[in-house]
Amino acid sequence: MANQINIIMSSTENQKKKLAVDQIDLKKTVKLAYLSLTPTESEQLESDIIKILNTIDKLRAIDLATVEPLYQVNGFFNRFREDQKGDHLQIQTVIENAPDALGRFFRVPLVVEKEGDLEQ
Amino acid sequence: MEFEPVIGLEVHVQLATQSKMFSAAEVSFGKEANFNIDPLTLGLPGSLPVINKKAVQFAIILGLALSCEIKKFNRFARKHYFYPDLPKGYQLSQYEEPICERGQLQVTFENGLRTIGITRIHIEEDAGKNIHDPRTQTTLIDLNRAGVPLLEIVSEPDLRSPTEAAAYLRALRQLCRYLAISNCDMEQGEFRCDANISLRPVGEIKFGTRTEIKNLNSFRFVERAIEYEIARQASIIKSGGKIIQETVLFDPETGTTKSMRSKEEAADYRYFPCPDLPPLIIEDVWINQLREKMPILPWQAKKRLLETFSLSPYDADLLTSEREYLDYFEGVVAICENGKLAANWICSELFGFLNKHGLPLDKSPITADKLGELLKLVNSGEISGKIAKQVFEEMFASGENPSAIIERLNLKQINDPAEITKIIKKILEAKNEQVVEYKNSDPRIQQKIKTFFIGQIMKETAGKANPVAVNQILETLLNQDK
Amino acid sequence: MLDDLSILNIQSSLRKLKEKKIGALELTDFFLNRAKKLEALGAYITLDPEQARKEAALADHLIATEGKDAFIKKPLLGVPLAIKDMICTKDLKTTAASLILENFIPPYDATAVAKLKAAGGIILGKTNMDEFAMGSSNENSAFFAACNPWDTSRVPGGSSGGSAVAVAARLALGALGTDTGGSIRQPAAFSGIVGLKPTYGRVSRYGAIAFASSLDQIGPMALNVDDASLLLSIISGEDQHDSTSAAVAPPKFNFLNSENKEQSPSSSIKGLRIGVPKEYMSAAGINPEVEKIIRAALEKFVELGARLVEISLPNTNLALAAYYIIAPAEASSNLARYDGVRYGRRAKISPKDSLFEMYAKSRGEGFGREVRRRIVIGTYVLSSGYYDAYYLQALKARRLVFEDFVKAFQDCCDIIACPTSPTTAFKLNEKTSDPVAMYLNDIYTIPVNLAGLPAISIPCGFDSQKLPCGLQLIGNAWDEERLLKVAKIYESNTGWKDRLPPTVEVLP
Repeated sequence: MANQINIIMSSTENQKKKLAVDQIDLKKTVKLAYLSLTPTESEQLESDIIKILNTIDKLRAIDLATVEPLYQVNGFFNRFREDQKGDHLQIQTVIENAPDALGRFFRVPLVVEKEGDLEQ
Repeated sequence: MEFEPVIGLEVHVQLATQSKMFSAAEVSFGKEANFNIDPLTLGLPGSLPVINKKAVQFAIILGLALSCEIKKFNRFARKHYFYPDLPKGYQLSQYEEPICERGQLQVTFENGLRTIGITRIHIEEDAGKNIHDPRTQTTLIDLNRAGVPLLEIVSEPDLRSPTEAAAYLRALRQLCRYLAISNCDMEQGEFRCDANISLRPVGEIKFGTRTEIKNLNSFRFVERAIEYEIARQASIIKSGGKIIQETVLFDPETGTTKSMRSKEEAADYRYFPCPDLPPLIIEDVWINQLREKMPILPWQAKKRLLETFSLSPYDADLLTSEREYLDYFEGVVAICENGKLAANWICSELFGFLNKHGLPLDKSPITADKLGELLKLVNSGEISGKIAKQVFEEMFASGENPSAIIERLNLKQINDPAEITKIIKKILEAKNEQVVEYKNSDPRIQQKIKTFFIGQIMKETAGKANPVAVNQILETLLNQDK
Repeated sequence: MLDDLSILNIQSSLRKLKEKKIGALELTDFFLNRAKKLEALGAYITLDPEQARKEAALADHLIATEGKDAFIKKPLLGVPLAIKDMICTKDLKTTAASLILENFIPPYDATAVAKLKAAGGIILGKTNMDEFAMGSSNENSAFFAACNPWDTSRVPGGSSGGSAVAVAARLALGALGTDTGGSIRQPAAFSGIVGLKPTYGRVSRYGAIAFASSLDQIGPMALNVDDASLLLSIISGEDQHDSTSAAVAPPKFNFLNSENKEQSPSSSIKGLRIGVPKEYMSAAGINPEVEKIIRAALEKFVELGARLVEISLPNTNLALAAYYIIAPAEASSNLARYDGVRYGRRAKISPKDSLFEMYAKSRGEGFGREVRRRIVIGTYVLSSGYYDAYYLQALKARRLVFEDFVKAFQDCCDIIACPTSPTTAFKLNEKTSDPVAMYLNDIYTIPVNLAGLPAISIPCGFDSQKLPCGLQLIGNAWDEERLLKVAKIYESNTGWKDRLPPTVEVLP
């Protein structure tokens, strides 16, 4: 625990190092996450991410080759439901939450794949 | 240099469950937009998936039928991308850990039977539907289909022509229908196909660059699209160009394919095991239970028809092309006990009539047991084949039992030799001229006269006389005076 | 009846309701009134007086016609409660303290909420929180901050800050929070109340807006251990809607003991082995006053008959990094559904903007800074080429943290005790400039979520600034009954819960 905190203290001095951000390819990740940011927000995000990455990067250096990943703590398996219809929602109530709708349909701007759009 | 096409197919089959893959919203068709919805279908905050056991069962059954290895341990993963018909922003699917692997399907092609490898089968959920309206520059979204269970069946690139592709698809569709895991109605989108095509020099082992044709939903489209794509790739190669790895869409109007996007920069789906869904552990006990309850498979049915009933390959194929036809056939045979007779009548008479009236088998006015009864009467000689056809027509029109019709129209076959003899004698007496002519003619003319007499006898008996007996007795009577 | 706030809690209120010394509507109005008057504390995002009063009137009717029997089927009948705005309440706005859901009205109740309602609980409103439960101070709320009733220049903790304030300032008798990395326990500690995170799978997550699916749990926040136990027993249980909820019977507690009777000290925890993780107590960054208070609390346990055992959780140093990979990864996935298509905020776009630009703008505008940070980190660690090095690696580290606890409970101790937080409540804006500094608030709570264990924070003293300090007790999986019993014994033998925040007074 102590090591962890000491390392973080010294990393703030390395903030100026842009290496971590280049490696992360921040622009690509932000695009993948569909977040449109103002230039200020982008800059703030960049500096925040460096700090956070420095914390979590330490984990990469540790040799955990012989350890099995833990996906779920409770060890459950075969959790099924029977194939039966259940209660429905009524579209009339639900559509009130929709930013835009036409009758029973949700409505969005026309889906046109453009050059810069990420594919599905 | 000669090139050969290398084709692999990915088929999505919509499963015939009552409820969706991960929630209890109904699976049904023809409902108004956004009817089959619940919190998970809408991707509402706080909603959670729960696995539909029946869908898993269907996957195992298909895996067994395709001789796959059923993976004991398998899991669902989240596949992320943004699209309006994908409510959670990810699709639940199986990526690294599919439920079935390494299977095969034997398909009869033009040049014989061949085994097509099945790479994998996995379970996933369907997306909703987008309805694009360029006029208003908007897209409408209907989530009825979102969350419906799908099986994705991926074949090895073992197919070599458009017709082979269609044959494989037909065989796979037939199997899915036999197993009753899906109706596979292609027009409803219950059986969809993506095709991967590449060309390579004959004899080459390495694969060429492939393109993917997405969303083909009829056998005709599959053939035409693949044909076009092969030709397109061939012309590029011939002119010294390079094939770009890309996804294309088939345009049925023009019969051409159009590029959707370049696949050079593959999408990053950020797969990871879904933390909301504990993994599946498929024990042998369960697999064996399902194996025991497996319905008959198409090739097993065909074998039975060929071996037990000595049917022609054509008839066997036709009668096993749908489980429904097979059941009908078996229903008829159970009563008339003559497979060949049943096959003939079903394949020509019944199907002929149904086609003419545009009716499917399940709307046939003649049920299997009734046809069985009719054929039983033919088999036993109570009525002749010709009369049977008449009765058949009447049955088709009225739906009545054959015995009732025969009774009503007095169509019973005359089998009594004494009665037939009486009738023939009567005819011969009336047509004494021809009898004399017969006695003085050579065999060829005799045959013609005999035919004339038979015609007269049939007319006299309204076709009810047993033709074999007539022939025999007439022969005897004609020759007795010689 | 309602003028002595120090004895007003769920148990005492139920008694008064049963004895008809007070009516349900009277009680609900009392809290609604306080909530309105003490609005400045920022506890509630939404109050629902109309529905609450309706339910309270119904409760009164039931009590009038069935008397004490009504409480058998409905053990929470007439009790006013607050629900963290991270948990869906049918027809009542639920925002996750985010602009992206600022007008979202769920068409269904979370299972835990449905259970509280079925038990007769009255929902007063939805409490403030850090946006999408990401934060440790409630300062990440998109709407307004909440402040600590013990000192309003300080944070109440987070992310269930509003629920903590509501309970501590007596604006509700109890509350639900959610805990992914300490979000119930840490604000409970900062605000001087009891907060419990159940074993993962104990309480259904259906209807809890997902942050990190393998870590999230809903839990009770209350003024004392008995109240927390009652709430837990009602909201627990297997749910067909949640594949990760366990087929384990809800824990049973004995509520017949009057809250004022002291448990016989030595008989109940004599010989209990209390593990004290050496890595926790020696951590740089723990406030010396906090350390002193915790040690005093541990001494009290010894006085009561328990035995302290120094244990080692050697992989503690991996926990923070593992958490800040796993939680953002799962969050980036769980938040992918907020696209402005079917619900939530959709950005205004120009005609030349495509659908995908609409997505990006809606999300960019709708999510706050911390949420955006975590989405980006999460997207990154799951992306192609980085998955093995980060996400998979973090899951391996998680296993090591998990196994540390398994070994400790197997070999060394029955319960683990440690501070809930390295400090007491810090000042507003003190840590907002450095995200990592904020993350360090959760070093004692995070390992518990990684291991899926139950843990409770209970008041154990006050520092020189008169700020409350919380003791965390961690139990083995499914051991809530023992955990709560031990907590109760400590509580009964100390008087921390009876102190009232100075800013809270009886209102006319």
